[in-house]
Formats: sequence, C-alpha cells, structure tokens
Amino acid sequence: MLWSVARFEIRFWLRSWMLWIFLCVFGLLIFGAIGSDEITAELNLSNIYRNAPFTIASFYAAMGVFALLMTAVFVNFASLRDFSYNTYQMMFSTPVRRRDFLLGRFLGATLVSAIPMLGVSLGILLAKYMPWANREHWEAVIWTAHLQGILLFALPNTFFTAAILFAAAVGWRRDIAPFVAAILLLAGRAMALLLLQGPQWDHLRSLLDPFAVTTFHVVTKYWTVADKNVLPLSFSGLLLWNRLIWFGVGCVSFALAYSRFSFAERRTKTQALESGAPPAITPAATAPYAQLADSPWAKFLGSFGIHFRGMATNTAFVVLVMIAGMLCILALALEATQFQGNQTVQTFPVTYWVIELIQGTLSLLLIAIITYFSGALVWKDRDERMDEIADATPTPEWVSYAARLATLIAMVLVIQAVALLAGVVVQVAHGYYRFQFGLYAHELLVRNASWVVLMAILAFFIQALAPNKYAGYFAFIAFYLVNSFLWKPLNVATSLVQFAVRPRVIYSDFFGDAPYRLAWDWFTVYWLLFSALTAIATVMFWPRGKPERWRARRRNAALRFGSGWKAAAAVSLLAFFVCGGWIWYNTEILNRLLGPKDVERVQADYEKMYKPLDKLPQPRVRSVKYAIDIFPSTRNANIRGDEVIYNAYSHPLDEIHFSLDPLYDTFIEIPGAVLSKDDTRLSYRIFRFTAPLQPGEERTLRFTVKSKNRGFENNVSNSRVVQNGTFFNSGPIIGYNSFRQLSDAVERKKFGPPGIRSHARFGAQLHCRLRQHLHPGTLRLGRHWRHHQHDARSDRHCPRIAGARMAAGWPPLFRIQTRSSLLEFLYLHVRPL
Amino acid sequence: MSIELRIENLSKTYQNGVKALDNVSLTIRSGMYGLLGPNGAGKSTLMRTLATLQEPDSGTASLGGIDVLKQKDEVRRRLGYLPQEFGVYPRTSAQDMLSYIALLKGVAKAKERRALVAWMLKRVNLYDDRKKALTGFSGGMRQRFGIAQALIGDPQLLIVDEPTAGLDPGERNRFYNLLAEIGEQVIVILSTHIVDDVTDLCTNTAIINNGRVLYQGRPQDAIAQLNGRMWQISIAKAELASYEQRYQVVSSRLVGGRPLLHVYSASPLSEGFDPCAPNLEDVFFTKIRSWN
Repeated sequence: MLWSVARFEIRFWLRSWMLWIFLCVFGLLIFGAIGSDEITAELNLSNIYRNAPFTIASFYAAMGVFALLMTAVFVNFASLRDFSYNTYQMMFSTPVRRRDFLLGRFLGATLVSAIPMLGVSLGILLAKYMPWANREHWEAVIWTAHLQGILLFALPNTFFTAAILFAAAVGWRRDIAPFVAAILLLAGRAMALLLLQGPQWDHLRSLLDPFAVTTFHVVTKYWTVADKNVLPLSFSGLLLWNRLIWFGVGCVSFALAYSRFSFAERRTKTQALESGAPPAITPAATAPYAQLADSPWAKFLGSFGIHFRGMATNTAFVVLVMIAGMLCILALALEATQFQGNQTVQTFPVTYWVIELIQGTLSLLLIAIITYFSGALVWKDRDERMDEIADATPTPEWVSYAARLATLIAMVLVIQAVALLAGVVVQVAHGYYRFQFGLYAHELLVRNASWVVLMAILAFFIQALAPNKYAGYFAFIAFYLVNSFLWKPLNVATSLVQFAVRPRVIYSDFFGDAPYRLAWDWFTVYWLLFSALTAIATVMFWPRGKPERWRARRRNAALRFGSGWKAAAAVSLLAFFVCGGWIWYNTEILNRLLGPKDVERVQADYEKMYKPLDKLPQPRVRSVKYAIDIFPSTRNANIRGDEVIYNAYSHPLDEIHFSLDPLYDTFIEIPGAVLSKDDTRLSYRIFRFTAPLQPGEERTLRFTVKSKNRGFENNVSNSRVVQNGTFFNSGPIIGYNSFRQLSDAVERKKFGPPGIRSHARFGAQLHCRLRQHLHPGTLRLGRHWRHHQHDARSDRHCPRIAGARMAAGWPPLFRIQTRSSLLEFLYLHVRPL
Repeated sequence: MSIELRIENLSKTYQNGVKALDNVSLTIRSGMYGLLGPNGAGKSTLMRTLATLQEPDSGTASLGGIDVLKQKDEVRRRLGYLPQEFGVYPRTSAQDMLSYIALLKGVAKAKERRALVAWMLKRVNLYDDRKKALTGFSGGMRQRFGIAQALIGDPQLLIVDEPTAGLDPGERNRFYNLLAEIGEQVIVILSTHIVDDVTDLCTNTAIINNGRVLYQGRPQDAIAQLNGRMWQISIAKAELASYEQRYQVVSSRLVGGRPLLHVYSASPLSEGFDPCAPNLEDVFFTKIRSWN
C-alpha cells in the first residue's frame, strides 16, 4: 500500500513539467558555471580538474541550499494537495492507513525533490563534451564521484529538508507553511554559522550545518590539488556524523508530523450555521434608493480596504511580520555596535549603520514576501472562487489591479515599520538616543519602498500573464536570479539595463548622501517610468473571467486600450526614452563607464606592470604648497601644488615616477625633466631628469589636479569631493601606489592604512576664502591631532582638517570637513616641523 | 417597451476539443426564461458568455442596443449574476462581503450602501446572521447570499446558473418566491436540469443539448406538441430490457417498486399502454434523443 502511494506520487510528478524545468534549470546553471573560467576562478576551483571529485562534491553541497525552495514547492503540493483540491474528504474516508498515506506521500515527494539535483551531474557531464571545452581542464569521468555526491549530499539534504517542510505543512495545514519553515531554516543556519566563526569552532559548525557545506570545507581544508583531483570523499568522520545527526533530525520531524496528523478535519472553531424555522417572507417593500455611479476611486479604496484587511489578518502574514522583527533584533543585537564588521572596535549603534544592517537582513525576506503575496493577491479571487461574481461587476480592471498592488506595498511598509521599531529598540537598549527618524523614514520607507514598488509591479505583471500561481513564482524568481547574476559575466556595468538597479548610495555622517542623490534620483525616475509602462500592460492583460487563449486575450487587451490609456502609455514611453537618453549622455558620454571586468583588468595590469618598479629609489617630498579651488555645487576641485622634492639617497636619481588618480586630470611640470612615459590607461607617468638629481639636491615641481565631475555617473566614482566636505588625495603619488590594487573603498577600509612610516611631525598653514572673506588660522598637526583656531568666528565656515592619514609615506592625505557650501578657496602649506 | 436579448450564432469550442456552443441563436424577452439541458449541454458556457466572463469563438449577442461582446462594461452595469459555484473570502462577514459587492456594482455612497445591504439581507432572511463569517454558512444560506448579491443594484438582466441544486424543497420554494418578486421589465435567465422548475416558473424556455438549441418557445406549446403521442405502462423489472429495445422509452420511473415507463409513439399503441398527458420532462427527453 505504502509503495503504491509513493509510486503514484512519483508518477504524478514525472508527468509534471515543473519537475523537468527545475532539472533543466539546475543543469544549465551548473553547466554554465563550470564552463565559465571566471566563475570557476571565483569559486577557487580553477586549479583542479573541472570534473574532479572535489568539484562535483562542492557543487552538490552548494546546491542543497538552492534546492530548499524547490523542495518547499514539492512538499507543499504533496502534503496540501488534498486540501486545496478538496479531495480530502474523499481520500480520508477510504481505508488507507495513516502510515501508508503519509509515509508514501512523503517518500514520493522526497525522491522527486532529489531529481532536479541530478542536474549537477548532468551539467558537469555535458560540459565536458562541449566543443569549446579545454581538454586540459577535464579528466576521465569518475562515475563514483557523481554517485558519492548524490549519496552524501543530494539525498540526505533532500530528505532532511523535505522532512522539516513536510512536518511544517502537515502541522500547520497552510499553503505558506513550508515557505516559512524554509526561511526559518535558512535564517537559523546563517545565525549559527555567524555566531560560530573562527577555526576553534570548526568542528561544531561542521556538525551544525544541515547542508554539510561547512563540513565539506572543513574536511577538505588541507587537501592538496592532487588530493582534490583524485580522492573521493569518504563517508566517515565529521561528514558521517553530520549526515547521521541531520538524518535523525529529519526522522524526528517526520515522526512528530506523523503523530499530529489525523484524517479528521481540522477542528473548526465555529459550527456551520443554520437558520431555524422557515422565516416569514418580508413583504416586498421597495428597495431603499441607491444611486449607481461609476465612482472608480471609491471602488479602489473599498477594494484596498478589504484586501488589506484580508491579508493583514492572514496568519501567514502575521507570522512573517514577527519573523522580520525577530531577525532584525537578532542581527542588530549581534552587530549594531560593530561598525562595518570590525569586531574589535565598539561603536555606537548609529542610525545609518542600523539601517544598513536592517536592509541586509530583510532583503531576502522581502523578495520572498513579494514573490508569495503577489501570487496570492493576483490569484485571490480565483483561489477563493469569487472571481465570477467579482468579474461580472462593472469594476474597471485598473481598480482591481491597483487595489491589490497597493495592498502588497502596504504590507511591505508594515514590515519596514516593524524593522524601524526594532532598530529604535536596539538603539535604546544601548543607550543611544539620536534616532534620526527622518533618516529612518527616508531610507526604509521611501528609498526601499521605491525598490519594492518596482519589484511588485514586475511580479504582478508576471502573475497576470502566468497560467497558474506556481509558474508565476518560478518565473519571477528566475528573473530575479538572472537579473542579479547575469551582468557581471557579460561585463555590463550600466544600470540602464539592470532592472531596478540604482547607483550605490553610501550614507556618511559628514555629508549624508548628497553626492549620490542626483544619479539615484534619475535612475529611479527611469525605472519608475519603465514600471509605469509595465503597469499599463498589466492592466491591459489583467485576467478577467475564465481563462482564454492568447488570441482572445490580445483582442480583449486591444479593446481595453482606450484613448486615455494610449495617451498615458505614449507619454510614459516618451519620458522613458528621454530620461534614458539623458542618463546615457551623463553616464557614458560626459563620464566614462567601464564594465566590471575592464576595471579589474586595469587594476590587474597596473599591478603586473608597475609593482616590480616599487623598489626603485624615488625622490622624496620636503614640503607642499596647495592652492585649492573648490566648487561644491558641482562637486569639483582644482588643486594646484608646488612641491619641493629632494634626493635622500647617496647616488643621483635619473627618473621620477608618478601614480596618478584616474578620477582626476593631472598636469605635472618639472623643470629639468622630460616626460618619458605617459601610460594613460593605467595612469602612470615617468619623467626623466635631463640633469640627474644629485644627492641632497632640491627641485620644485608644479602640478595641477582637476576633478572631472560632470553631470552624474552610473555609480559615483569620486566621492571625495562632495557638496559639503572633501577628502583630498593631495596630488600625485610618487612611485607605486599599493592602494590602487584594491578595488573599492570597502576593501581599502579592510586593509586599513599602513603603519606610520616616519615619526616626523609636520605643520600646516591654512587659509580659506569664503566668497571674498579671508579667514586666517593656524593649525598644528602631528601624531595626535591637535589644532587651534585663532578666530572663533571662522569656526563655523572655515573648514577644519578633520582627519589625516599618514599613508605610504609623505605627504599625508587630508580630510577637510566643512559644513558650509560657501568654501571656494583653500590655501594649505604643509611642511615638517 | 422591454429590452430584448438577442443571441445570434454563438459558437465556442474549448481547448480540449469539446464543442460547448454550436451556433446557438436565441431571442429572450423580459420575464423568466428557462434554459433546460443535461449536464455538459453548454448552459453554463452560454450563461458565462452572457455574463461577460467568457469569449465565444464566433457569433454576436446584444442586449437592447448594447453589444454584449464588445461593450462589456455597459452590460455589467445592468447585470446580476449568480454563478453555479462560488466561494467566499475567508474571515469576512456576510454584511461586509455584500457591502463590498454593492460597492463594486456602483453603490458608491456609504450611507446608501448600508441601507441597501441591510434591506437586501432582510429580504433573503440573512439579517440575523449578517455579522457572522460567510465560511460558516450552510449551503442554503450561501445560496441566499448569492441571490442577494445578484439582486443588488436592480439589474435589468439577471442570470442564475443552476440556483436550486443542493437546496431542500423549502429553500427552493423560498428562492423562487424571491425571483417571482422581481419586476416585470427584468430579463431573468434561469438554467437548470430540474424540469419542474421550468414548468412552474418560466414563461419561455429553450432546450439545449451538446451546445445546440433543440427547442425554443413556451413550455405549454412544447408539451402540446406531444399531445396524443405519450403512452405509459407499468411493467416488471425483468421486462425492462426488452421494452427498451422494442419501443422508444422516454423515461422509466419506479413506482411501488415496478418500473413505470413513458413511451413515445406517433401512432397509437395497444398491449397494455395507456395514453398519458405529456409533461415537460417528456419533451425534454424526446428532444434530447431527437425523436421529436
């Protein structure tokens, strides 16, 4: 009996297209990854065979996490099918035994869920025989390696996840139960791995990771390349224990579900009502007068009210809100006082850091919510079988669409509000009261909301066209994944094609988000216009009545596309192209936009070519006089410098090398030297002294550095000159600049400034001009920044040197902080004391 | 002057090949119009098409001067529709649900809506249960809710699809009393496979099978056509097979344990047959089997 139930389940799924599509997607994913040199390099798999046992096992282990979502879908359907299709009364009154029914269903669902994982083997096997495969990267097929991947990872992972999700579905008997369980599982795992960082916890982490990914890495930590190419993973030690533990957990979950399951109906809270005696017929009085009017806005508000109330009282949503709050509080409790992950320094839980943590924690949850509830809302009437009644009323399609879209957005705003509350709570718990509610509201409720709006409109569009809810889920997730991962391998950087991508905004205590706003606003308008067009298309194709063939749907869409809609679409389209054109002009013509691979290549080439020259002796700088013109509104600065260099060595020097900042235009004049090499691509210049610089000899060179900010860029590249604060690089760097090896600011912070090379103290003389006023002031700087301002009046307007970094030598890099946008000129004379 | 619903050559074939409507042409005037046919005849498809929920492959339909297929919103403003099966939003009371539907139908002002909803609930005798969740209602109560939502807004075209299936006789009567109160200028199309409903209620009827209209006109006229051609006989169970072979047996009902056959014959029959007055059921079966 058991096996017939299981067989039925498996046969059912083998007939479904969903299973084969998942299999193909997995296979393609692995096929693409393993065939791509860049991806294998990123995964640290490039120095071993592409089909080595190690590689196969890595992919199998990694896919466990991906497969969670799929298993949720299969398990959901397997366990809840009878309830959603209303066959449970038929099924449960047959003499099938609980054991056979549940176990059979479960086994069927588990085995089926494991099938798409075979895509890993498929992808790897196929990739070997492709005409473009490089012979050297592949060894002979080791079938046992594939078998091991399946036995060690695919099957146990599927069993365990299916058991937990099955238990959730059976215990809660709701559509959303497996998805919630999946989220909790992932969150719990992430939390555990986060808490147990560090080699001393390796063993514990290996045992606690349900997908055995950590276990795999720990077990193979010290394997050599030869080991990885040949050695199969053995079913022993940590791996064995991990698999046993989680197999046990799976069995226990299933046992719990089993004991809780009963064929009887869920105990309903209310008895079915029946009116008692046959009532007296109300005499046919005339109905009270009611004027019928089209009133679409009243219909919109009423629909929004009923949909939002329905969703807000939905147990699933309430649970999700609680999960969101819980996750936020957990994440914040752990990291709110560790700025940028630096675990040794305690900081205040400042609002912008709290916001960043919240955004990072909730991003996946928000995607899950948008995915699930867009389907629930678009299909609500059809699922509840209210569609015929509702569709026969004279309600415009846009009202139905807009009310549901607004409901989804409102739901997400509720979650953001809860997250905001969590942030405030954690701040209060740390005794920090500078809440900056305006910032909270702007970031969480406006900036994030714009992203939600874009995503929700897309999700609704997909669900409106999809033949069923699950196809819609799948298509939306697939789109999201493709949009996230496709562009880097294609070397595409522009946000004009990456859906809903806006420029990075980094909030700073000094200058807020001022430099990033312009680009962000334009790109947001651009994508909102695109979404407006998508929304119009959604309304035109909004499902109404019974499902029809495409020809009929197109005809209906044409009928709905009246003159008002045509005008709106035309205006949006025009605005979209104008906006896109303006953005393209700014980001690609006024400024250069390099693809991500190009950027990396430049850095790699710079290191390859010029690092060997690092050890060449170079002249040193004695003092520098800067005259800096600042244009805060356009974020530009011109830095003119007179730099006195000298030869500190005991032999003459022939050349002086400069590493320039590619974000600035640099002009260098050196009396008695000629330009012998100007590498514009890698921003490196070499000057040759016509008369070599003698030991102890001094010369003065002059440089002019101009920033190039025009219009706005795809991503702000030069955040050092901003509307009210500037961070000067102080001019061209002599010699090789090891900073440029690192790709971005985050990386730089990680590596930190190198240690202070010289103990020399130096002083700086600062004059600044604010629109005709000259405020003198003298500052003294050294290891410990102490500065004195003689003129109290100037305190407000004249900038202070807020920080300086003694970088790889001299001169130091300054940060000039000013809250005034009136600063136009700065004179700075820096010399050692 | 009453409005006429004119249906011309409506055809629809589903994607699985089933021909649901085959050149259906009908003219329906105000009053109760019965659509009679067995399951799968195409009644629901026709109803849904008239209720603007489905597209036919070809043909036209017009309500007065309004093109039903192309001017859907105009039709919806005058339409009341009770589907064969419908569900309800969970955790929503009868009052809230009816109010929502009334709003969708265009009763925009809240005060008017409240009064109208209360009156309608009283009329279908659900007023006492108005605050309770619809999901807890019994079948009869839910059907009453259904007719309430169909009647709200004073529709000119009322389409009810198999409304009395699953109702006990008391409920059925009450339902028809409600329908009977509807104004005389309203077109009511009632689909059913319960023949008695049509006989009792409808001024006109159409008999449909396999997507084709077999008869349209007044029930009395159809019955009159069979005058003198229906015969009945009571036989033993064992003889049933042989009778079915020899004669055109229209229907067979057990009376006192013995099959009572209604047989159709244009010429008189002897051998124990008695002439009987034809009823609509006889018309129904003879039409379906194309004997008439």
